[in-house]
Amino acid sequence: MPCIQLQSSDGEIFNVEFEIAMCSFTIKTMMVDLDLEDNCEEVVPLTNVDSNILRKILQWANYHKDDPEANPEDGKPVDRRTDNICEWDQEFMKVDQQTLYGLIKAANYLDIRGLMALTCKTVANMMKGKTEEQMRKMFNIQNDLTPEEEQQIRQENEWCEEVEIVAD
Amino acid sequence: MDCGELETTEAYQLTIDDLPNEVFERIVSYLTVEDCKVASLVNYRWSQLCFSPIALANVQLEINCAVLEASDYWTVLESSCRPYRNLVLKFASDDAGDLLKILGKFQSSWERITIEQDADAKLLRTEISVGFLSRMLQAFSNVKQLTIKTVIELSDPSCETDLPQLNRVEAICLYKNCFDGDLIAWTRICPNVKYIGVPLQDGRDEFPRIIQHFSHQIEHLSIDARFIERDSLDFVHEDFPRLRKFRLLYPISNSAATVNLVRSFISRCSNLTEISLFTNVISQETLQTIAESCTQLQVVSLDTNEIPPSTFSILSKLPLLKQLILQKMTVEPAMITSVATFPALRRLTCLSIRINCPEAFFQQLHKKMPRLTWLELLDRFRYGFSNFNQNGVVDAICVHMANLQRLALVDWATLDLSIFQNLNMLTNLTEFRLKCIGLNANRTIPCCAGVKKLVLDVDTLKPSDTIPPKCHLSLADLISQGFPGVKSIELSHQLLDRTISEREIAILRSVLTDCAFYRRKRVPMTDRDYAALL
Repeated sequence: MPCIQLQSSDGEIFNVEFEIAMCSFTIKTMMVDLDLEDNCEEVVPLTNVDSNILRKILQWANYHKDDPEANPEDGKPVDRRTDNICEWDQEFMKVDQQTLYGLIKAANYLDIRGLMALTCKTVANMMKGKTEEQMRKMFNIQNDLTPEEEQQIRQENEWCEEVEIVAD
Repeated sequence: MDCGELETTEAYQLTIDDLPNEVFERIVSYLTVEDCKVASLVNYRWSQLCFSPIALANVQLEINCAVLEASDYWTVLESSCRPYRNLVLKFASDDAGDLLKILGKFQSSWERITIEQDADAKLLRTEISVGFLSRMLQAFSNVKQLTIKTVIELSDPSCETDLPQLNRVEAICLYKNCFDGDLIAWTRICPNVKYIGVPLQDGRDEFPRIIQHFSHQIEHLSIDARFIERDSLDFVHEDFPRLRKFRLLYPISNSAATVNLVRSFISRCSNLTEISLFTNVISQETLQTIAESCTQLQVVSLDTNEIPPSTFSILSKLPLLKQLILQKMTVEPAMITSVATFPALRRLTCLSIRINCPEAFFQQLHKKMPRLTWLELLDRFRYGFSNFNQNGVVDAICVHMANLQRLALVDWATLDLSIFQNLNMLTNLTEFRLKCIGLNANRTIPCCAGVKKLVLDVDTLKPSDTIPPKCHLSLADLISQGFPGVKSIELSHQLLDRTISEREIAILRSVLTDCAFYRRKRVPMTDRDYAALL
């Protein structure tokens, strides 16, 4: 099985099966651009991803390596559901918020679509059905809105309703 | 989710506000509109990002000049950072031009515009000048769907102004009297429409002309012919090669000649995937034509007082039929006993249906519709023949329809909770919707552990006479005992008494920590508004 070497921001080197590394469109593009596909000696530096996060990502990619490739431009409506996370992924997402945001930033940088969806859905699930005070507490956020701004938002919200979507 | 203390000693810790804007917008795109409203109040950054263009696809802005002046709307919306896409507009005039300012501000983002009457009919008629109309249409240059459901009159109809062309409009839906006379050349203004909804009216030629003009490109056609007296429907002589959805409200006269004309029209529409007919009586011949000619049909909707006994037998021949919507008629077990099984039917919607012998009816239904997982019984229009307390319908469903995953019940009555005594027999049930005037809390709901989603729209919760008031069940008890596995609860804004329900919801939140709660002004009971024209 051909491998590729990935180097995390803190210098650790990971030997990764080609197929697994390919879940990242960023790495995939890099390989093609640098013509590295037959060259396993080269080390690919990932300056934005530390070893803890990279280890988690590789664990996820290994589990999902046989998933069908997601094609976002196939005309289907955008998947807005968040209750369709498989059990393994739910277990995998049991991490502290620090790690969660680290994973999101890395998934975004490495362009790993499946992981991006999973992590974003996980954060969305943390927000769902809460009050604003519960959300602030959950994410450790201070309210910096002036009373006037708050009034403006409440007023606009008052005029907004959900459009009924025709479900299949 | 463990969000407790972190072991790291680094000075800087990542927070949600370290995520780039586009990532944050991606996250909030998974939220419901109710969640977005709450999240927009968390802090300044969230207020700017929660209603991203993606989120706004599901939001409609409502401007109702019967409630607030246009200038009040403009004061707030002038500094809005949300690129609104959908608008419901209710207005009578716009002398100060504030509406035009609002329409202009969001010109590049508007996609769907509906102009309609307010619920209290304070804005009985809307009068605008041709110049105003022209500027209004200019602001609709990116609109894809335009619906006008109110009477709009022009104050200076003789004024000659070239109205702008709206090339993006795909769907146009016009209601009776929306512009009097032949003043507006819709065929020129919206040259690319594919979806058309229009009324037919005696003495109004422009609507048949629109249909005729676009017959080669129309994909959805919805016609309200209830108001014509003459016995001819001009459109039925046209061919509509691309037609996929067809809805017709028959003329009240419903003469044999008309019925035959429509039947001949339907027989030429072999590509239809959806058909919806509203008529006093539907004939066996019409149903046979539908089943034989339109074999691609996935959705059939019949709104009629009388159906032939062979209805189910005929419709079961449609190989792709996914959803059947029945309204106002009476059904009985004999209609379905000798029917072949429906191969693909997943969803049955009954609005104001009288079901004779529900026990036997649902027993048969379970056999003949083996793939049916979604059942909706709505009594929305108050034709109420009898309510669920007396007719045994709910129990018959619980006992016989074991495949159901989604169940919605609407009744204009105060329902006894005892009618749900067998709800737990629906072991596959994941979603339960209930709308009624009130509940008599004379019994608990048995534990339905599989239910993940609960939608509840109930005005009162009453203790029953049979149990002492002090034992009376609270909403929190009912839900936490009946639906312990629920992950999402939608409750109407006016649920019970506000003060009581807030307290009970606080209790529920503490019991069901893993569950999302939503309060809505309007609790949707189905995913489709059947009263809508298109």
